[in-house]
Amino acid sequence: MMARTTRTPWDRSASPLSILLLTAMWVLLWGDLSWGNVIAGLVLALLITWLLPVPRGPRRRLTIRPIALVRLAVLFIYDIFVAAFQIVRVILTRRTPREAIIRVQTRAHSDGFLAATAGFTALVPGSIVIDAHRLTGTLYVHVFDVGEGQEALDEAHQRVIVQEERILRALGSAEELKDAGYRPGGSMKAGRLTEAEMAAHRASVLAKRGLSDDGRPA
Amino acid sequence: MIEWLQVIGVAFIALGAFLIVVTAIGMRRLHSLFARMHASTKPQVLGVIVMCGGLACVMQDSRVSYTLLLVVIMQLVVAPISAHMLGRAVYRLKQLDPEVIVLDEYAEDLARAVQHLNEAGESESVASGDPMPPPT
Amino acid sequence: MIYVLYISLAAILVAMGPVLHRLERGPGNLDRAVALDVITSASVGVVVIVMALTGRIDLLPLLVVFTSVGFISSTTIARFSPAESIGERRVLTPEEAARTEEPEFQDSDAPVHPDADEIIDPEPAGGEIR
Repeated sequence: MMARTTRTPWDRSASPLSILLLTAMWVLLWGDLSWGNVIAGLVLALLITWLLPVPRGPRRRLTIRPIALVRLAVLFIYDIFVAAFQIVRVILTRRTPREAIIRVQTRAHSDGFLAATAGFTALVPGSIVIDAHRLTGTLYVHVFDVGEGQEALDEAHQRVIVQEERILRALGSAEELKDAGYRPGGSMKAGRLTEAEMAAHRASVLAKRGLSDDGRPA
Repeated sequence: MIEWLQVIGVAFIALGAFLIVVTAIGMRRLHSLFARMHASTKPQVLGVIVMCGGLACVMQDSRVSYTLLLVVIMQLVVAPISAHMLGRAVYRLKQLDPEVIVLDEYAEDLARAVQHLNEAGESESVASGDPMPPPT
Repeated sequence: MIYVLYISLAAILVAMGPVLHRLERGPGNLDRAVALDVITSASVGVVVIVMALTGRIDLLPLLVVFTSVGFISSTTIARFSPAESIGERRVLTPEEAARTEEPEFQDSDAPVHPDADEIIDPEPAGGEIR
């Protein structure tokens, strides 16, 4: 890698997506889509990303599957309503809810999806993320009202995993889906990879990075 | 001004107010801090979102609608952050009510981490960077 | 139709009673942080109803500011609050009060400033002020 002796200010954190989002926020704040607002927003976005640089994560291509994204949004809105009314029911009937803290092992291999799953989980029925272990991708989820028995805990566990799968299928690239063990595609029925496919994928990833089978340099 | 849309907007505002009122009642009736956090995240966020939607229907002005969209997005992003920080602090400061909690796998992992720290010796674990061993 | 809005406004304002109860009583600062969060959202609700009643648009930045800044208070309290011992809480059950230890710092042992008597009861400088 060539060493650069000078860094231009735009190197620091000016990813196009962040500038676009900041400009959109500014335009939404003032309400009308006029040239003045857009240009002011652009100037402010550039100024902010220059003065307050955020460390760049690894470069990802953002893959958007429209149908999966729409399904994610609609089910998310439905889940918010269900969650709110579940808590309303518990409050109005003066019940003491049984709580539990479960450990959920997420399957995505990136921090962004861990954070997205944690954020979504806090708004859908019954769960709030208390802590996360970044290296292994473990989420500790506090569940609001579990029924009796192990099936209720398993159901809460499964809800987080399904939520994560929905996010992955809407926004993850095929590589990331295969890393997580799902067959690539937008539909939820695509299912998980079999053992042989997982082994083949792992071998191809290691080969691409020039490592041998046990992870050491070839 | 579309009349029926204004009526729907007022209905949404009333629904949002009801949700906020129920959240406030829950602050008094729920006995565990975690339960109160759940109440302050879910019905409250939905209440504010529904009220903003109702306001957009009542005012029927595009400028207002765009800014209300921004408010809704910010509420959705901000509420999980605050809930997570509070939950973590509650756990670390041991202010939870142990009788209601049925199963606590987090405590097991924390206990195992403490044991790992004590066995390995503190300086060694700090040097390795990540004191908490991955859960099995 | 307007009456529905007035009733909603009154309902939200009255519902702040239980939240204030939690704000005062809540054992520990984190309960109070959650109550503050609820009060902030209720303020957003009140501003929304006022905007609907009067048709004013200039209150819109209030919503944005409340939402974006309001969560910072509870997050900061959660991040920086130290572990309190039971004796420091204001509202104790009788068992907890029995369990509280006496404070270790005994005031009678502290070193006294040599001018302590004068500091506590100084002579008025230029005559007494009536």
